[in-house]
Amino acid sequence: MIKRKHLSTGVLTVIGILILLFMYIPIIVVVLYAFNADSVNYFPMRGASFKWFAKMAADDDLIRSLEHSLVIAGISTGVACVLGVTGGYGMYRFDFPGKSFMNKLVMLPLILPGILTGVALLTFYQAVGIHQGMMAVILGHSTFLIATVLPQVYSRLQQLDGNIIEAAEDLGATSSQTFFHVVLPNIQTAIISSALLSFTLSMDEIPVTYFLNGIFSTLPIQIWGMTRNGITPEVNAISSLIFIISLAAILISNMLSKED
Amino acid sequence: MEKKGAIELIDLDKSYGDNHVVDHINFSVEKGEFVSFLGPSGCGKTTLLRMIAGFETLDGGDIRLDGVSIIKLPPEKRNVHTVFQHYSLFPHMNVYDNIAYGLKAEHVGRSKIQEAVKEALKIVSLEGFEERMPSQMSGGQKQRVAIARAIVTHPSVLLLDEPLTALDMKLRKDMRYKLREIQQQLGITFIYVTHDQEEAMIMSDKIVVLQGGHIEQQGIPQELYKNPKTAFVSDFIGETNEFDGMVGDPKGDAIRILCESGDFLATGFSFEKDEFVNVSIRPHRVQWSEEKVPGFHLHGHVTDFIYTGSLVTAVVMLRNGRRVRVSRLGGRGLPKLNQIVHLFWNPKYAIVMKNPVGDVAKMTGMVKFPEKI
Repeated sequence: MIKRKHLSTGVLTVIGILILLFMYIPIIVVVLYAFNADSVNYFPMRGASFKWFAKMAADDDLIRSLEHSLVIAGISTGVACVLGVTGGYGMYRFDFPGKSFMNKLVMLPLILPGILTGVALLTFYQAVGIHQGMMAVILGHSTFLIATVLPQVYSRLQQLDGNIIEAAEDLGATSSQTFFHVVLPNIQTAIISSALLSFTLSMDEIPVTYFLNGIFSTLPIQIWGMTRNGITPEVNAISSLIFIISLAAILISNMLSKED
Repeated sequence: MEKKGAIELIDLDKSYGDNHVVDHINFSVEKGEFVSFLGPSGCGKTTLLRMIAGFETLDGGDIRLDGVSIIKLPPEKRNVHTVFQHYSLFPHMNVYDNIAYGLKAEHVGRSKIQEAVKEALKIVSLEGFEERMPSQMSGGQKQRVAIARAIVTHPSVLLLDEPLTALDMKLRKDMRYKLREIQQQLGITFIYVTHDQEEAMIMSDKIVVLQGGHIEQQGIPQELYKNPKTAFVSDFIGETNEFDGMVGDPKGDAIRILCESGDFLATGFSFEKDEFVNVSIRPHRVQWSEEKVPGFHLHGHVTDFIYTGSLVTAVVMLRNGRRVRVSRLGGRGLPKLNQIVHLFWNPKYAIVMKNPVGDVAKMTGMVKFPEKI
């Protein structure tokens, strides 16, 4: 009986390791190839080098697309945070009809296929006269990033001891003093964590961007374009960089959202 | 120090749907008084407090602070501060910043803030704790910080919402005296909400007993203890033995009460024969004898002893299972276990009160009680 139990845990461990390998081997391969001395992706590698990173840094189109992506991710994360935090706080402080429905509705952009969001935003923007381009992409990203910020902020607020807000008002603080001195410091980890998550989501977003970008490229779209002529080691280099930065952001975000 | 903080509650009313939580309450607190709102949970005491603080709206009535109506003011404009049950310190600020918060919100100068915080910490005996974070403090210390934070801006009234419930017994007892001391020192009005009658008795100048959203009785603690107007009050204030029975014949100054365990003498005015009543007799007023006592037919045997500090209580089980407690300091002069005893008392200590249910006998045509047992 005991033996069989050992056997089943053993099997489970093996399956677990296999699943992890299945998920991460592709990424490990990309990272390894980024340091390949050869220009052909071939295993085993014949030497290591940083030259693809150098080449990547010298590729003006790639760097420009990176700049675009950073600007878009930065601004739309900022917009999403402002709207998400004020929205979440409003939902926390006030009761209004349809509140629980709204709480679910706001999550929708995360669940809907990006292609649908993309088509919808493009149609709507054309109807109201916003042309394809940087502005449209920033607006589009901000829209779906609210879905990551608002629920996180709202759920953190619900864990908060509501009496500290009353305590502040009781002591003579105005609503804005209460918000900035008491509420914000106590939900800041939730905001930072959702901002990091938003930033990475925006950085690698393709479908919505593709509908709205017009003529300029963001980083993922640029990379996607480059791979049409086969995967170059340069792409591996930029991908590894993105992977490491995303990993760091997600880890920090996870750590902060666990904090009380 | 000049006393301030006279509060008048005029015909206050509040309902949540069908639940009438505050039922036309009229009440006034004088400057510098320590008043307790005492009652079980759901009696409306916390709602009343939150109305004064400004966190609850009212359906009707008025609240006046030193003669001026405050019901239109938001909480931050009322010169009334609250000490919350679970402290509700700002978790991201240290003790100094917590206490200074009210002053900073009012844009008071830095040196004045330092002075005021120092003074407040001295009052609650927490000097030297400025740099501590709330998470590094014990419950009692946090509660004292909460008090310091609330008194630092010199409010006219301090509202305390069961502030000691989260503390352990020993600390709770010490804090009662400390709170009373602070209130005397500041000379401001304290309105204290509690369900603990002992707390209320020790600290208060005046107690308001609340039940079901209305005032059951108000008065100085001794008055409530000696002359409870209703069974609810006598039950809530101090230990008591309660009987429900029927008024028999008046006999001299006392009236005879019949109950299912026998009959006895008690004191009451304007009660009619056969009226259903409640009677309260404090355990330390109950006497016992091995022989029958004229006017009393209550006998039973001792089933148990309860030791509460210096007070020992014998539990006497009467006919029909009613238990009567007899208390003596140090247990001196109590009967032995299983001893058969006849209970009696000076009728003036047995208070007859109206039965809240009304005249049950007339309503139901209930059985007659035996005249003699």
